[in-house]
Amino acid sequence: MGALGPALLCFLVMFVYPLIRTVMMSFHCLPSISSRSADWEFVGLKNYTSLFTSSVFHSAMGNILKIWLIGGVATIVLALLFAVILTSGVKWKRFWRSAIYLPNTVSAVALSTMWLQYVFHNKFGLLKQLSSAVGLEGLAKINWTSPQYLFWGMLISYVYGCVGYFMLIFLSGIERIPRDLYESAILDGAGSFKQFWHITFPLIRGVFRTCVTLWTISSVNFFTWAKMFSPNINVKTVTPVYLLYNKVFGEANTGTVLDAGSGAALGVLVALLVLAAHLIMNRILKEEELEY
Amino acid sequence: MKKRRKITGRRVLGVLRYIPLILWVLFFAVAFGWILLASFSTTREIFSNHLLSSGIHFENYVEVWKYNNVGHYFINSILCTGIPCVLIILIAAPAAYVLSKKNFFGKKLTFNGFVVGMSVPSVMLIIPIYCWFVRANLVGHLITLVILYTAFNVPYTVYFLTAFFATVPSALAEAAMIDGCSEMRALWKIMIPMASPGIITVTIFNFMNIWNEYFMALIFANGNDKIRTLSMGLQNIITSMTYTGDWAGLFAGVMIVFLPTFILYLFLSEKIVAGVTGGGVKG
Amino acid sequence: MKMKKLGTLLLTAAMMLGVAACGGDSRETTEQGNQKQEENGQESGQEDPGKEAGQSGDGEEIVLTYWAQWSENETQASVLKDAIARFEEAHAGVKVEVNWAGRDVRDILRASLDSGNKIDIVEGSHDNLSLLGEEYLMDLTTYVAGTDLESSISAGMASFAKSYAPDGKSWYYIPAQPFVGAFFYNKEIFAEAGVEAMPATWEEFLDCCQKIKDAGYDPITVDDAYLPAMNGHYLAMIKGVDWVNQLFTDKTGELWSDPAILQMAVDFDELREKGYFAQTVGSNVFPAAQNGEFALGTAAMYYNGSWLPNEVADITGDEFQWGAMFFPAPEGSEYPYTTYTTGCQFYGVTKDCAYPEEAVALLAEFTSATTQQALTDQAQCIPVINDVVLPQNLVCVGELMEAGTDSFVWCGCSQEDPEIRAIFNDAFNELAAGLIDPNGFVEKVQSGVK
Repeated sequence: MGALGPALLCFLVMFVYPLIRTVMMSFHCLPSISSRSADWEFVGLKNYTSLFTSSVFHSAMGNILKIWLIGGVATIVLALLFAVILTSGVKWKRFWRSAIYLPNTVSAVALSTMWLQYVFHNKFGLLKQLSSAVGLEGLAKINWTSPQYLFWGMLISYVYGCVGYFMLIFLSGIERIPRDLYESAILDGAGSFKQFWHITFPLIRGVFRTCVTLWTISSVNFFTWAKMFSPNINVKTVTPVYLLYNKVFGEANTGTVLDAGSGAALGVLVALLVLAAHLIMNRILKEEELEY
Repeated sequence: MKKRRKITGRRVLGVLRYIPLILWVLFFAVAFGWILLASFSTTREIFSNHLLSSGIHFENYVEVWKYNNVGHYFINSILCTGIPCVLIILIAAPAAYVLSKKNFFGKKLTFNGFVVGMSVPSVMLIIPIYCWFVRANLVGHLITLVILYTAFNVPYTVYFLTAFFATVPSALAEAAMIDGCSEMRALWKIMIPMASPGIITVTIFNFMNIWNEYFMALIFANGNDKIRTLSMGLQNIITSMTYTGDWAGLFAGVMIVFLPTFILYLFLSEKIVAGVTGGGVKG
Repeated sequence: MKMKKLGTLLLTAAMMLGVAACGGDSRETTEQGNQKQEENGQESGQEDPGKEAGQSGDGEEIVLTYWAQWSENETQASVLKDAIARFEEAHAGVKVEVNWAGRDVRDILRASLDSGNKIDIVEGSHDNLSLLGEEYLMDLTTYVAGTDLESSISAGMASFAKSYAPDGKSWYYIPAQPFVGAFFYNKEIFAEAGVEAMPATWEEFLDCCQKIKDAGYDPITVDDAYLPAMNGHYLAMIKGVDWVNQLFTDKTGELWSDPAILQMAVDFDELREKGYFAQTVGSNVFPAAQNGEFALGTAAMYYNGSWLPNEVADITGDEFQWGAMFFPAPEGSEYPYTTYTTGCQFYGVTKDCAYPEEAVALLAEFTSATTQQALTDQAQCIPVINDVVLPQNLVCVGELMEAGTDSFVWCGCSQEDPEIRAIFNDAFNELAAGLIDPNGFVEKVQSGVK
């Protein structure tokens, strides 16, 4: 029983207590982040209401919704595509698998630099040169850091960095499906698409659910790429966590009044979003343990 | 007639399926290949698109190395990742063992606590913890990151290993305990070695999560070369290079940070892929 | 606010070469300083032993920690390293530890101080360092009084720095490097395009741009980071700095319906529509335009601070012919067109510093004639003391200042709400990229800030 002690202690100290404290903070105005609770001023729901009326907060919520939905569909479709291709008996499967996963092992700072300073660069960028080489002048003209495209540029690079991970998860799901199911389908004359639709897809529902949940958590916590694409807060790329970082840990050069209470309210909202996502996912994609 | 069409169709599909793979991988190879060449060129050459036209400029690397404690960044990253990976197992493995092999009041509640814990976003916890560290004068020391990385990864590891211990037969450990071996001893000498595949898997998973962590590193390991991890160090290099307009140096910085990780991955990719798959499937 | 405005004017005077220095009234400020010290002592008792140890100067080695806003690969860093070496030689037993933190340090300075980092000397520009104020920084008046530092720093520079002090007259901030904001231009392109007289009015400015465009160059480029400096300059010209300060803190959206906003949007929209902005304006992320367009000579003008020639030195090489011109006066301008913006990098000593005397001595070395001359020669800085010769590339700035008759603070404002700033910048980016028209711009900002 004592063996449970350290883990339990760690859980209570680093999860339960901070959780309660953040919730409390979100109803208070704090003079500074390190001030003791005696100095907190109770403000009720004010932190929340001022968030709900802030247009920057609205942009942040809109941005993560777009990241979650559009980025999520793109990532999951691509990851599934690669997983299906890799399990269809291609040559050098292990090489492809390692190579597609490779971007996930690279620091997001390095990856986003690759995208921003090279791929999207408006002078010598890969996309610009590639598209003008094949005659796509319209694409070559796109300036990926312009207000219309900055968000999409960020989303494309984020999706590129994520696909490998989700592919691995799908891959392990598909590999658990018994081979003989496919063999009998081939005997019945089912083509590749039919096999996917009638065997693979239904049997990886559980994995699919895992992927959606993982994607939801990562898009709610979206921060690193937003920070790399816009070092200073930018309405086009801001996310709730970015806003929280700004409010609590602050940018001195904008004269921000650091506001830990408002930041805590944001933290609570982010956590509620994750919770809601879990509940909805459980409802839509009920976990059915399929026996095969 | 119909059958033949099907066969050619399948053959075409057989070739076509390589196209997405090739495009995807080629893109990355071209991008990083170009960055490698750019890191040996001059900034003017980069902007005018004549990479390497004045030969190889190794001094870009020398400069990055000279003005930034890249060695320090690596050591910090290794410490901040390695120590938590060990601590996590020391804390989580015994707990997982108890949760999977023992029956006690509140077991279900404890286990569910860990399950809920692993989906709480860290931004929800970070503000009060930052407060503590400020008051304890710990900010600006690597230990903050070691504590955070350890604590935040314990619930998931407990969850994963609990499931894993359930598949490890406990007869051997029970026999040893009958022979007078203490329970702790039986755990570390018998159960843990038997669970080592699971421990390796989850450790690789944790390692990959921690190695490139950004949010907490930005809060706790920024502003000072003594505590910067690789991600923060690279960000610092990039900022300084943009202020001096030194794109060649900037790309050299990216390469210095990228290459060691890449080489490691070349040797361990199978293990890493297996670890991430095994650790992540039920995440 | 008044004090700051006055300070700006005096800074203007100081930066003009050859102005004689004269000490301020040090007696009064000294008393103020002493009082301050006592208060500090009472508030935080635990620091006192350290302070006393420092002042008594026992045998132990004293370590000063300096967080620089330069990265180690910048020219400023190499000059300051030499200065530190000289200082350490002259002050046996004192060691200076530098954290070459780079510009990002501004974002984390307060958090780093809050979290108990031992930092003795901090550095930043007037607007961000002054946010630290007396809560974090020490009143240095007693330590500065009667030293070389006090006598060497030019009078205008001193009043500018003091104007940012909480009481408006003490030494909280030691000037490090002043700067001037204006249009920097490529003389070669101007000559080729046949622009002789510098434009004074907006009309003349449009003509000037047309000539440059006809010569085949982009007349103006700008990076995202400096758009606020350019449109802030415009707004402050017609409405004054105090109004711009109110504007960027106004959450009601009322001030945003002022016709001045629309006028600014219309004028900038015209620049874009006529092709006077480089195609990339609105999408340039610092330093894309600075390095890739202005320094490489495809664009003629770039609104920036006088640090620019140093930052792009590696790209421009030695042949680049630097020019600096006034921002043209928009219609209805309150200021004459011979107005430029200005600001200054400051040093500060933190409240908990145990060795303020040594810290001030180090800052005295940083502002000594030797260091200032080296900074000027190698890092192309404007000096904070008199009788230093400006480097070749900054001669244009010197001329601009001599011709200047007025000045106000960099960006035309010194207070802003970050969310309003974000909304405004976003809308202005879209305007500059041609995605919305001037009316759309005003509507977007108004609905955003409410």
